[in-house]
Amino acid sequence: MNFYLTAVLLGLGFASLALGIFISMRIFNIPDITTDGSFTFGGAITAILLVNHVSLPVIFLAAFFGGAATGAITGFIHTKLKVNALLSGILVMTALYSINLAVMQRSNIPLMEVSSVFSSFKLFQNELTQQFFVLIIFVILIWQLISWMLKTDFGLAMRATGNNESMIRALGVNSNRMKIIGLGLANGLTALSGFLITQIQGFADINMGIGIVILGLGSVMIGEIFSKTFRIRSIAIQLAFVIAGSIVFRLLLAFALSIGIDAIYLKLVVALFVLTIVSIPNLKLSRD
Amino acid sequence: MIELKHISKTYNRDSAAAVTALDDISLSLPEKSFTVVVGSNGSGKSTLLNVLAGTVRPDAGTILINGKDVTSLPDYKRSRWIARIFQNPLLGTSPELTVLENFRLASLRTQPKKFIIGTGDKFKKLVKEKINVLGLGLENKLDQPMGTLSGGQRQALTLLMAVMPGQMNAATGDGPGILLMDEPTAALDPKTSALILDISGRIINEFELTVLFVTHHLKDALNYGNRILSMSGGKIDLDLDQLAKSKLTLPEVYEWFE
Repeated sequence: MNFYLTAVLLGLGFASLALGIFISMRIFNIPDITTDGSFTFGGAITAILLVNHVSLPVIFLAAFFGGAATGAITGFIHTKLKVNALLSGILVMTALYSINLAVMQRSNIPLMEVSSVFSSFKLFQNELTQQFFVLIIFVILIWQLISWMLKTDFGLAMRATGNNESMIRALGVNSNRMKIIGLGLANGLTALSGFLITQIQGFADINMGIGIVILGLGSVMIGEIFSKTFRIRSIAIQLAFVIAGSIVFRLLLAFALSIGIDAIYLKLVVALFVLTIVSIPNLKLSRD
Repeated sequence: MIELKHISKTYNRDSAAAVTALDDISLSLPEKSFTVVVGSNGSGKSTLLNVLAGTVRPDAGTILINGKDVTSLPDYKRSRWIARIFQNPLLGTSPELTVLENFRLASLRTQPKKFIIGTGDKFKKLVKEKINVLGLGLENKLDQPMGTLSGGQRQALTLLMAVMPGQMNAATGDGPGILLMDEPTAALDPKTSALILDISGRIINEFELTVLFVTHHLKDALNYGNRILSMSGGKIDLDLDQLAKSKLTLPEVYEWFE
């Protein structure tokens, strides 16, 4: 049972990343590979600051704004230097590998004997229950905040930017600036997942972000399947489904491991799984 | 008042495929004037509109709006004076946002988009009253995504969005609004086209807009506006005022295209 509870915890930890991918992929239509780097960046910042006993709120903000800066750089390269969005993300991700190593000073930082977001205020004796409680509160707060933001005038302008750029420029919005802010926000959220996951697993590793963008993408797509099935238009509920998608994705991976699939093949399973959800709607269409 | 002074624009300037879209155009459009532009494809009509809107930068010349030099202002900054109706009826609205949310953004054309929720009941009532005038029954679809409406319905709403209150009015010193219409009915059926033109006419009169209307429908070109320009090869061949325009006949206009 703990096996699946751990999967749920990871799902909650990656929920912030999934929301970030929702913003870059669904709101701005930009496949943002920066994610792989900004996730690790969030983890690296968290680990190095934790072992140096910096206070958690400061670490939290450092992780968010650090991630946001990487996204904003991708946005800048894409909009101002007119580089293809995918390539912009790959460039920043590649550069971040060195930056992350420089931040961490080595390829792995274990977090033994340091207090984390889960141990700073103890409510439950059971460690998993305590983690679950902290993560749930965190995810609900982020979910509420992003839902609210997307309903404000600024959020509407953000959604319209990805939806219809000529319209939103005709309505007085600098769409390039909006993309930079949007990618910044998306990667800030991603880095927050790095912040959480590092503390859940108890270490930061230079390779922790490899292929992580696919994980977010899969979560967003599972969320969309829910939204389509229930014909959901409310942005808040769509986001809730994305979070649910993140948990479901983790449970499916846990299931795959439990039926005896070798952990070596985990990324292969992830890729095949995302391929399946992406292609099913297309196959259905072509049959009609 | 819009003034274009010696505007030129050449696409692919340094290559063999260079195309002169605008060739030393000078033009002034007084406040509350309604100017129709006709011309064959490639005559420079759309470039003229885009240069005014700020989506295309001219190679030479200056653009003044109410005496202010806006030549180097990007499109999203000129939007405080200029509203656009695109040829593609889907380009004026955001499909995934609701009708109400689209109107909210339109009402903020000249203002910053802040972190406040502005789509409350008061605003809803205002939009409802606005849309009611159309008589299309759309006032009951405020919470539907714009993408669920037809092209004609969306074009009609785009027109209303161009004249949401609190923008482009004389009180804020921005002067009368400018409406750029680039073949707004080209993608619509005849009945919907007539409806869109009817709504345009009403809005233009009510809000005393300054209009530049590009069309391929020569009948519409004769029926609407108080001035007509004919363009070819990036130049204005003919510029007829209201009196001369009223004497025009359809066969005469057809001859311009021979």
